Amino acid sequence: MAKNQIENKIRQLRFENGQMTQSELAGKAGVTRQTILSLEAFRYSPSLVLAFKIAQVFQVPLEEVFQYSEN
Amino acid sequence: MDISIREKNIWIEFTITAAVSLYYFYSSYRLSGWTQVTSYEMGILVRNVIILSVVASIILYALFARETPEQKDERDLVIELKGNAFGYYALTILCSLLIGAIMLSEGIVLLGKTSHINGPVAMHLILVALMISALLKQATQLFYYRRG
Repeated sequence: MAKNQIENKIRQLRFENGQMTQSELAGKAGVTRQTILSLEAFRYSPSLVLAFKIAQVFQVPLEEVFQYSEN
Repeated sequence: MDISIREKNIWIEFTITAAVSLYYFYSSYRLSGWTQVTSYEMGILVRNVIILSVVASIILYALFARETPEQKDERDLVIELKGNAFGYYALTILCSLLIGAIMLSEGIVLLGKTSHINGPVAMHLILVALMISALLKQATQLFYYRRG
């Protein structure tokens, strides 16, 4: 169950992109591995800049990675 | 345990702050029961506190945190800000209570009775406020790091 209103498909996208590790994604997005871990657990809402960077790493539009949920 | 170098450093700071606070208050209480401190005793105590902090820092960092921490990212900054905010609230509340207590004690003196809050006690209480706020700041940061 999501703990905040921003959900994401980072874990799924990592596996679809050659089983990218959390560390690899963290390095490409310029954050620590713990931040990626928090994002995947829906415990941290990223800034717009980080959200765009992550979408850029996966080469998909922002809304394909992050979704806003009313629940 | 999955722990970043930055979080490890905060654990070390928290341990040192707690140990130094305990040492300071135990020693100052044993010296004078808090109500009477000479500047000589205070000087020795402050010197010991500084030596203890430096030695504890060297030992703990050498044992547990030899690596250079990674650069702060936005989550680290958010956690740091939350810690600072909680520490600031605690300091504000404790200082307000202390001001109230000092004013009350002045009133008691004006009524011709003896007040328990004299200069040295007020100084110790300010130090209590500073140490509690520092511990709360670090504890808040650790809570958010542990929460994931």
